[in-house]
Amino acid sequence: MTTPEPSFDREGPVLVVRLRGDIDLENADRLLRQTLDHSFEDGVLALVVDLSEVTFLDSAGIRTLFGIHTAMGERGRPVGVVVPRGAVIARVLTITGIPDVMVLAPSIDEVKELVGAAP
Amino acid sequence: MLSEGAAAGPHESERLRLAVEAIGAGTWYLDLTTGAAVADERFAELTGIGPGAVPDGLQRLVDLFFAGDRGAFEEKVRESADAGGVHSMRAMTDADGRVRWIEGWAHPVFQGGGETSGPPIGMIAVLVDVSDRRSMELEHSDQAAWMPRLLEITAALAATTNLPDVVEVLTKLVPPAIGARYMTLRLVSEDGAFLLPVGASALSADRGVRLEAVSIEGDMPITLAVRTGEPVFDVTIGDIVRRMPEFSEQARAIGARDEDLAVALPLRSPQRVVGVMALTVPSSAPLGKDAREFLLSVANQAAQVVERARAFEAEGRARADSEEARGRIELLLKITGALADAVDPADTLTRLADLAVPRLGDWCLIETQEGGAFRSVALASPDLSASAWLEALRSDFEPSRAHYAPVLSSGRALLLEQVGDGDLRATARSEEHLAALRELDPISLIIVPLRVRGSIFGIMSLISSRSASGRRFDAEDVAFAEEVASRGSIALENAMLHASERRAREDAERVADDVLRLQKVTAALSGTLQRSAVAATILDAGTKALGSVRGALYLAEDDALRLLSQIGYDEGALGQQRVLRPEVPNSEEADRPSLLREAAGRRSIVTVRSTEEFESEWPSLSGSWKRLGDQAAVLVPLLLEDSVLGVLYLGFGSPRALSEDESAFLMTLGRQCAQALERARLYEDEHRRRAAEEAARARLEKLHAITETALANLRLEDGLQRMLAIVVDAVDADLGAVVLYDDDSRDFRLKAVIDDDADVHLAVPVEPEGTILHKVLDGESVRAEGLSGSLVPPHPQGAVGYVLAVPLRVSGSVLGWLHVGCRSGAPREGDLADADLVRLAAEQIAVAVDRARLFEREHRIAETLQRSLLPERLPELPGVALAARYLPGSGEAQVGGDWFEVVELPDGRIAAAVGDVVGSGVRAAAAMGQFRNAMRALALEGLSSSRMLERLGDLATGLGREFATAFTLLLDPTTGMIRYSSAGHPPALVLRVDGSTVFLDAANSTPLGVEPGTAYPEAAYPLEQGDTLVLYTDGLIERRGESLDVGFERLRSVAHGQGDVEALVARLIEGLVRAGDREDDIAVLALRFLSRPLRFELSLPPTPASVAAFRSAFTTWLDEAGIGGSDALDLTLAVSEACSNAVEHAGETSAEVVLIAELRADDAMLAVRDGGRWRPPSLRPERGRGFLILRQVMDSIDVRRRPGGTEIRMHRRVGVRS
Repeated sequence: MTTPEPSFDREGPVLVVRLRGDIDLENADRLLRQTLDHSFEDGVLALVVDLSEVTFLDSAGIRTLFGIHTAMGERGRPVGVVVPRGAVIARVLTITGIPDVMVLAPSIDEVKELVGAAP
Repeated sequence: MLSEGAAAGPHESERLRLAVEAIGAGTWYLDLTTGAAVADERFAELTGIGPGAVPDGLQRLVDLFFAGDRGAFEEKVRESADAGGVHSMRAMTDADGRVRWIEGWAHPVFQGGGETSGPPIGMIAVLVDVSDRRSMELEHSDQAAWMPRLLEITAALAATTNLPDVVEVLTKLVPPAIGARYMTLRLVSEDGAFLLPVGASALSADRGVRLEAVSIEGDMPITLAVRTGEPVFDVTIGDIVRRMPEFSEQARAIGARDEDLAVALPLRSPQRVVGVMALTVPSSAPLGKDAREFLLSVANQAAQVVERARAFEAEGRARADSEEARGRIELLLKITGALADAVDPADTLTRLADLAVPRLGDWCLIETQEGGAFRSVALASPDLSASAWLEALRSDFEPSRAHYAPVLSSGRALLLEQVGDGDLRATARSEEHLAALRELDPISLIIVPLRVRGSIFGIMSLISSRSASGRRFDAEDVAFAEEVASRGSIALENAMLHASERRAREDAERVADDVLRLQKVTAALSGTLQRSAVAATILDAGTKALGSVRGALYLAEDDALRLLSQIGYDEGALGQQRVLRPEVPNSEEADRPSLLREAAGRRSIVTVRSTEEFESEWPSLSGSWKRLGDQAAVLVPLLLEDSVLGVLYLGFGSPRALSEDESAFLMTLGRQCAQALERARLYEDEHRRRAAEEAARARLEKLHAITETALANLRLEDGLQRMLAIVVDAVDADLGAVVLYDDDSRDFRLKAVIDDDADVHLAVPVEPEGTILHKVLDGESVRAEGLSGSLVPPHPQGAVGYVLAVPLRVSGSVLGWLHVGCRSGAPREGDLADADLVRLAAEQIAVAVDRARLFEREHRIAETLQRSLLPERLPELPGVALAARYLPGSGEAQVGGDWFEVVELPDGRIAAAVGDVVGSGVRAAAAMGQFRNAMRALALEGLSSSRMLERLGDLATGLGREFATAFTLLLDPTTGMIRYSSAGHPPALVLRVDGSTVFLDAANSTPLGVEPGTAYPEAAYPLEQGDTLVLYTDGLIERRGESLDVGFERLRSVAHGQGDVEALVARLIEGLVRAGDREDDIAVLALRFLSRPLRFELSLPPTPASVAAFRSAFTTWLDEAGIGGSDALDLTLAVSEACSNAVEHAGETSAEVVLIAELRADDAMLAVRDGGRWRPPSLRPERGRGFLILRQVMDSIDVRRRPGGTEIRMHRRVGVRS
C-alpha cells in the first residue's frame, strides 16, 4: 500500500506541512523526523500541520503530532493544526486530547491567524 | 377509857334536869363541883332564883330558906354527912304582894347514889307552896311526911349513873318508905317478850328467892301493869296464887301472905314501858292515897332513871366501845395507811412490827417461814437494849418449836395469858437464850399466823412484858391481833403482789423490749443472706441491748474459731488478742485456755464480770486481756440445735454482771444468730454451687463455641482469631495471642492477637527466646504474675502483668502456643485463673490448626489438580455463546468432582456435558479429570449423548465403582436441535427467548456406575435462536434442609433476565451461592444458541506494514457485512491499534499476528493474537494512547495471556446492518 508523500512549504516564517493518506505505525516516525528536519530551516518561526488530506490516523499519528508540538514548543515556535470540518480523523484527535494542547482550525489561514503568524 | 371529868358536864346537866322534873315542884339543883345550877320555872317564881348559873345561888337559897339551919346545911354541903336533908318552912311575899307559905327541903347528892362516900357532889332543893293546900285542907302533915322520903330517893337517884345503882337505890329505899315486905324490879327485855329481873330487896336474897324471867303474856300484876301501863294496887297474893299456882312457892319464899297486897307499878318513860316495880304490902299497912302517889312518883322517877341509866350505860358502853374501837380503828388505819404504800415485803413486815408496838404489845416479833425454817425478819420493841435477846431470836427456829406447832397446824392464833417459866424453858434453845428470855420477863403472849392466799408464810408474836406495860392479853386482844395480822398479811400480800407485779411489769417491759429487739433482729436477719451481714446485725443488736461498747463474732470452722466480724475494736488490738484469736488445734496454743473455747464448750454464756475476775480465772491470759482493753465481757455461744456455730463476744467499758433476762435474751439472740448464719451458709453454699454449676456450664459453652469455630469452614487465620477472642472473653482476660511455627519460614509467626496496643505485624517472626514463653515450647504451661516490665511478644513492653501460656500440641509435637493475660499484675476474680479452661481451649485450637493445615495441604493439591483438569477456557464456537464457572467448595479441602466440557465436533455439531463425581479432595478431582477427558474423547468419536453416558458408566465402574452423575447433550448449530441424556443429574434449564423456562428432564436415568451396562435414554429439544441452555451441578441449587424443588424454583427465578451468558452466569453465582455456606463445589455452564456468525480471520507477519493490510482487508469485510459509518471507522481504528500493538510488542518471537472478527447479531467481536508475551502498557503517555483509543471505541476489552502468546479480545455493539 502506497502512502502519498508529505509536502513542506514555506509561507514566510511559517512552515506548512501537508500530510497525506493513512498515518500509522509504518510511517508515523518517519513523518515526525521529516517534519522536524524541515522545521530547522532558517526563518521558520511557526508551523502549520495540514491534515486535510489524511485519510486515517491512529495513535501512531497522534504520537507524531505530539512529537512535533513538543519539539517546536521547546524552541518557542507555535504549531497549528488544520482539520477540516467533518474530517474522519477528528474523532481520534478528540479522543486523544489534541484540541486541548494544540491550536486547531479548519483552514490554513485561520490557523496562521491563531498562531500569530498572519501577515 | 372514858375520862370522867371530860364527859361530866352534859351528862350531869341532863341528869339534874330529869331529877328536877321528876319531883314536880319548884326544884333547884346545884352542882357543887362546877357551880352550875339548874332551876325550873316554879322554883324561879318562888325564889326569884332563875335557871342557869347563879353565882351566889347557894348563898341566896340558904339566906332565903335555910338561914336557921345554915350551919347544918353548910355542913351537909361540905362534908360527907349522913344521908338526910334539911327542911324548913317560910312565909314569903310573892311578886303580887301575897304572902305564900313555902315549905322547902334540901338534900345533898353524893357520888354513886346509894353510897355516901366522900363529900356531896351537888345539892338538890325542892320548894312546895303549901299556902293553897292549907286552904284546901290537904293533909299537910302526910305530904310533909312523904316529901323527905321522896326527896331522899330523888336525890339518890339523881346521882346514879348506872342500872345497878338505880336498882340498889330503889330496892333499898322504897320498901322501908311504904312498909313493904318485898320488892323486885324487872325490866322489859330488848325484844319486849319478857320481864327480866334486875334486882330485889334484901329480903329476897335472904330467902333464897330465885328470880326468873317472866313472859310478858302472863296474868301476873307485873305483866298486866307493863301491858296496860297502869299501876295495879288491889290484887292480893291469894288472888295471884289462885290464878297462877306456880307462884305460890315464890310467894312463900318471900314470906307473902294471901291477904297481902301485890302492887305493880309500870316504869313508864315518855316513849314506852321499860319495866315494872313490884312490891308486897302487908294487909296490916294498906297504902293510903299519899303512899300511892309517892309510889307513882317513885315509879315515874325510876322509869326515867332506868331509861337514863340504860341510855347512859349504853352510851357509855358505846362510847367505851367506840373509844376502844376508834383506837383500834386508828391503829388499823395506821397500819393500813402505813402498809398501803409499802411496796417491799420486808419493809412491810418491819412497819407492821413497829405499828404493833406498843398498842398491841410491848414486843413484836415477825418471822417468816422459808423452806421449813423460820427466820426472824422484823422486831419492834420499846427498848433497844434488848438487842441481845433480839440477836438470840434472830436465829432460825424449828417449826416444831413449842407453841408454834398448834398455830401452824390449826392456822388459828394462840393466846398464852400467863407465860410461865416452863414456857420460857420450852422455848429457849440454850441457857443464854433462856437468860435473855427471862430478862425480857414476859407475862402474856399472842402468836398469830400471817397468812397469804390461804397459806401461812409467817408468825407474828406479840409479847407483853412485866417490865413494860405489864398487860395481860385477852381474847379481844387476840381478835385484834388477828385483825392486825390479817391487815398486815393483806399489806404484805399487796406488797408481794406489788413487788411481783412490779417485777412482772419490769420483766414484761424488759421482755417486751427484748422481744421488740429480737423482732427487729429477726426482721433484719430475715433479709440477710450473707454471713458478714448477719454478723453486723447481731453485733449491732447485741451491743445495743446490753450497752456494750464493742463486740466481735467468731465462726466455728474446722474446729477453730475464726473472727468473722467485729465492731468497736481497733483492728490491730483485736488481731493481737490471743483470747479472741482463732485457736488452731494441734498448734502449741491448742491447750491454752480460751474464753472462746470455754463458751463454745460449755454451750452456755460465759461472763467476765470484771478485770479482777478475769485475772483470777484466767491468769495466763491477763496480758492479752489488757491489750483488749475491756473491763467486762460476755461470750454467747451461737447454738443451732446441738452444734455450736460460733461465739458472740461483747466487751464492756466497765465491770458488768448479767441478769437472767439479759442472759435469756443473749441466748435467744445467739440462737437467732446461729440460725441466720446457718441459713446464710446454706445460701452461700447454694450460691457457690450454682455459681460453680453456672461456671461449668459457661465453660462448656465456651469450649463448645471453640469447637464449633474449629469445625467451621473458615480460613485458618479467621478461625484462630475467632477462637482466641472466645478464650480471651471466656477467661475475662485483657489480651491474648496465638503463635504458630511456620514450616515454610521456619520460625514462629503470630497468627491471632487480641491487644489494642500490640504492634501487630503478622509477617514478622515472633522470637520466644528470652521471654518467659520459651518454656512453653517444651510443652509446659507457663503462668507468671507481676510481669510489669517483662516483654511478652507481641505485646508492648510492660503491657502484660500476668500471663498464662499454654502450648498448642498435637500428637506430641508443639505447633506453637496460646497465651492470655491481663494488664494488672495478678489475674482478676474469675476464669483467668482457670488454667484448665485455657488448656482445653488450647487442645481444641491445636487440633483445629493441625486439621486445617492438613486440609489446606490437600485443598491446595486438589484445587491445583482440578483447575488443571478443567478447561482453561471455553472454545470459541460459531453459533453459540458460552460461559462457565467453577467454584470449589468453601471448606478446607472442598475441592470436589464437578466438571464440564464443551467440544466442537468435526461435523460442526457441539457436544457439551456437565458432571459430578461424588466425594471431594484429590481423589474426586482426579476422577473428575478422567470423566472429562473420557467425555471429550467419546464425543469426538461421534457417540450420542446416551452412548456417552453408557461409556462413562463403564468408566465409573472401572474406576472402582466411582459414583458420579452427568448430563450430556449434542447441539446442531444449524438447526438448534439438541439431544440430551441424564445419568442422575439435575436437569438442564432452558431460558427461552420469550422469557419462559423449561427443565430438560425427559431423559433421566440412574447415576453412573450404579448399574454396569445401564442403557440411558435420550430426548430431544429444539432450541430457537436466543434460547439459553444452563447446565449445572447440584451445588448451585442444593441447600441443606431444603427441598430440591425450592432450589429449582430459585434457579428459575434468578436465571430469568437480560444480558449475555457471562452476565447470566455471574447472576446465577451471585443469586444462588451464599458466601461461606458452600459445602459442595459448583459448576455452571451457559450456552446460548445463536445464528451462525459472520467471521473474518487474517494472519499476517508481525511487521508494521501488516497494520495497513489488516485495516484494508478488514474494511473490505466490514463493507461486505454491511457495517459502515462510525461503527466501521471505530472498528477499523481498533483493528489498527490492536494489530499495531501486536506487531510492536510481539516482536521477533511471534510468527504471525492473527486478526479474527465476528459479527453476530449486534455484536462485533475483534480478537488479535500474537506469539509474544504481553507486556503491560507503558507508563509513557504516548504509549498508553493506543489503549485509551481502544477503550473509547470498543465496549469491552479482554487481554488474555496464553501459553503461545497474548490475545486481545474486544466487543462492540454495532448498528443494524444495512
